[in-house]
Amino acid sequence: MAAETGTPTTLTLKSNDDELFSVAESAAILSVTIRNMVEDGCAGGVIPLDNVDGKTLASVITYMNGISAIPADEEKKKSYRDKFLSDKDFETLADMVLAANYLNMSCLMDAVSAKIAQVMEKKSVGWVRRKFGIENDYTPEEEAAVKEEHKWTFEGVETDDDN
Amino acid sequence: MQIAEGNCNYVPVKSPSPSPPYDFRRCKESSTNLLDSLPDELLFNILVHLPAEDIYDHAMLVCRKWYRMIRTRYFVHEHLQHSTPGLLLHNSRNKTTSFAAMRRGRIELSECSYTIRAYEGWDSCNGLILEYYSFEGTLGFHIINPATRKIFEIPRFSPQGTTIDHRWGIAYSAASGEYKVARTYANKVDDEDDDDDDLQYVVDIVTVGVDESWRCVCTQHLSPESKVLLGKDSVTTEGFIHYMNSFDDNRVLTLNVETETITEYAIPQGLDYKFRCCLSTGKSLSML
Repeated sequence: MAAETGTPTTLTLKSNDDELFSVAESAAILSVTIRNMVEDGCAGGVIPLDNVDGKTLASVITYMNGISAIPADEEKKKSYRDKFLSDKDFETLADMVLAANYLNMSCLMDAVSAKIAQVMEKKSVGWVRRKFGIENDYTPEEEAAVKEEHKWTFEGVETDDDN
Repeated sequence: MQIAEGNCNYVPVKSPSPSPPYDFRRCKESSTNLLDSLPDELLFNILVHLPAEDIYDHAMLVCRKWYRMIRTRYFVHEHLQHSTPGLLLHNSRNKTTSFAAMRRGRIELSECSYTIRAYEGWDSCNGLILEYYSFEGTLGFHIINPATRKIFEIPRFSPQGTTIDHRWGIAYSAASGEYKVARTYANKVDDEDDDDDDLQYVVDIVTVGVDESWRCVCTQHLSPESKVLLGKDSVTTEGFIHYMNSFDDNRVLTLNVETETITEYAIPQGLDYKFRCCLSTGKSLSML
């Protein structure tokens, strides 16, 4: 996995389902959580990441390697992020936003949040509730009132142009 | 669809039920879904990226917690920061309103859910549309938020005597989170010693949702030549309204809506008399 051959420092990350991953330290420290562990000298052996499963961690490591290979060019990094997230489904994105939060990777978290919002666009209320696992706690009256709040209400606006 | 700079602004309308301030508690919804462990700050980060139409048509209807989160000043402010700037275009011939935004390196054109009515004139700021109209001898303004579909009336105004050169603009005062509408006009005053009428330029301002009547902005420090600019073209950038004569003057008058003061600036050298067009590019004023 480790992309760079010149700098041999690699870390071993362990997912919560006991999968092990090797990753270049230079890429892994994009995660502030991991960087802190490295700086505190806790990274000698295997770094356990209790909140991330193997599938998600593999994906995050692909991202870490990809983004750290790009020199300081924000436009290119942004287009890499867009491409990286383009084929991910809602569930994968949901796993990734939680992982990015746990690993403290703000750039990835912002990109994934924006992507989730993009997936949610034009979706029905029912779809959103299902995907987020939310019970509707509105009473029918309250729900109707919220709907009513944002209807066009042009009555009462009189102007000389009105016929 | 996004309109102007962010479309999640609300015209201050009273909420039907006052809601408690939003606090970052964790989700309580019971479910096997992974997202039931989504902390509120992460949910906030996601919702803030949604276009305003989706927020008002769908997200607010999801559950009470989402409603409360969206109905905060902080959410509105953050949503504004994430929104796409662009130009609101009105085609008076076929009566359509569209929004041109630069997204991912491309210009996207989308139709606006609200068609600007012709009236006397209009302006826009952060997705809000200010319309200016006349009604039974009074002049009125209202502000429309196409995303929330709310309309907000601003105190009307009955001109005394003959007034000309009406100009208007709406700007956002970021520090106070308030919108202000400024209107300028000139009173024609008979001058007994002269055949020509004198023009007295006036600038009035109103804080949307706060003021019951218009307040006068001080113009005493401006020379009579400068004041004439108040009746010329106006362009709004974030928090400022600029008045200028594009073709034969090398000065700009800038009204700071935050401090409600007018300052005179010189147009950069080399551009005097030559620039043809003045555009608002978000926070800056551009001259082409």
